[in-house]
Amino acid sequence: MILESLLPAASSYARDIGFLFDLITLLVGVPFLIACYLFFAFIFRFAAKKVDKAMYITGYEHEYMKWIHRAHVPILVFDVIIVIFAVNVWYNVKQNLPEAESTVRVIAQQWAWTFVHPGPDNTLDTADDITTVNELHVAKDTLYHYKLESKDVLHNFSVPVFRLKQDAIPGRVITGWFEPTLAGEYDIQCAEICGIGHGLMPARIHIETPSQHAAWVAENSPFSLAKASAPELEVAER
Amino acid sequence: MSVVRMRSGRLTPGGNARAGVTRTVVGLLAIAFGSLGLATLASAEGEAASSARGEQLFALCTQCHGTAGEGNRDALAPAIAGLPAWYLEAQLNKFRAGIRGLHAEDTGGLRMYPMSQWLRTDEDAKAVAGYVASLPATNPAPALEAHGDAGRGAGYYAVCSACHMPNGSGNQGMGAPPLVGMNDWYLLESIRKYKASIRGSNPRDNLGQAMIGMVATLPSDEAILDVIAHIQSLDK
Repeated sequence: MILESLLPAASSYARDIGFLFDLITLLVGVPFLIACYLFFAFIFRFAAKKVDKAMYITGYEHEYMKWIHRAHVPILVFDVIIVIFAVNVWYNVKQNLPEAESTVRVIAQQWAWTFVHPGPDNTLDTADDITTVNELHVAKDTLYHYKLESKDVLHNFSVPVFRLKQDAIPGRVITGWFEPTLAGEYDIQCAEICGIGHGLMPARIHIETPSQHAAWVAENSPFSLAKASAPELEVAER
Repeated sequence: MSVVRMRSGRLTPGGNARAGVTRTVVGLLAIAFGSLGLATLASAEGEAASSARGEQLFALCTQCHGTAGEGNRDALAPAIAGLPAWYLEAQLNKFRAGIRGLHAEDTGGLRMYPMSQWLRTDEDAKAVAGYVASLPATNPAPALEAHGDAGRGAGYYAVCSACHMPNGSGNQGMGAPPLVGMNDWYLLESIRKYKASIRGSNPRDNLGQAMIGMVATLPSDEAILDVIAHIQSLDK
């Protein structure tokens, strides 16, 4: 896998997209190298030799034009191959919405990311939600839905290790999904020019094992934070 | 070079000892005054360089705060021209350190936090603060649709005046910026943010935490508008 050697694959569909990347690289790259070889080979083979004067081709001679027509065949065949595989992956990633085990809200703005985690009750928009800036915490091997919003202009929620990119559009709540498969801390970036601070809105995704994630949730839920700041008070955990 | 040559005394072969001492003293004095002069010159050059650097960096600010630092409400950017350098520098450093502007509901602050990261050194923050302070104040016109009662506001303002001074001119010793000349909408937003602990809640923001306590004396939005009306009525 060419792409995976450059960037870890950390979502359930990352390898499918990596396969597409490799397929396109091979289908386009091999003919490109052949073309380059022929191009330079002809230049050197026929350079500075008093061979025939350059010939004018009208475009009607089948004998000569076949070299152009025949090259169209693999282009069409390769296109069909790429489309078949790509549609399959596209459907799985973007048009299919498997049932969520948890949901996070992702809010983009100039120039920061706000993430709302569902908290100990695993339900969004309840009092125990955990809100963070520029830091998303998720559990490995858990299927997440994300609800993507923008406060101002176009942004793009891009998680390179997931091979995920999704535009955030003001006024819309866009739902998508991912399932992290590799623990670690990786980049989140905005992949849509959104103003002068576009390059300054990086965030991090923390993919934790389920037990680590549960510990993080317990530690950061508003109730436990309230308890930590006022330990003498009895605060209901749930 | 001439100073060094005088000090070395090599130009006085055959001179007597006293003449040598005099020359040494004169030489040392010349070095002292010379370096003083150079230091003054260097400091003047340093200030000029700092101002030039400040002007250069200010180009980034103009995207939201405007070319004259007049502010732009749509960009959530207040007027900054002519604010005291110490206050601007302190706020820039709070943004740079993430002490201000990293609350999830502080939309304007979340814009300012990344922009403050352009200022890579303390010198840059100082330079741009100095440049913005040197710009003529723009005294922005009132922009709020709702107006409060300046008379009632004067009563509420008694608490504020302890630090921000009765004439709203601010007090560096208390870390309190001037309030006159600030946008009315920015004052409203700031007080609301303090009330909701969106601003000032960072444990490292001592003055912000103090403000959270102080704004508790304003019981409602109406009271906030009243105190803003009073601030607007103060002489600029």
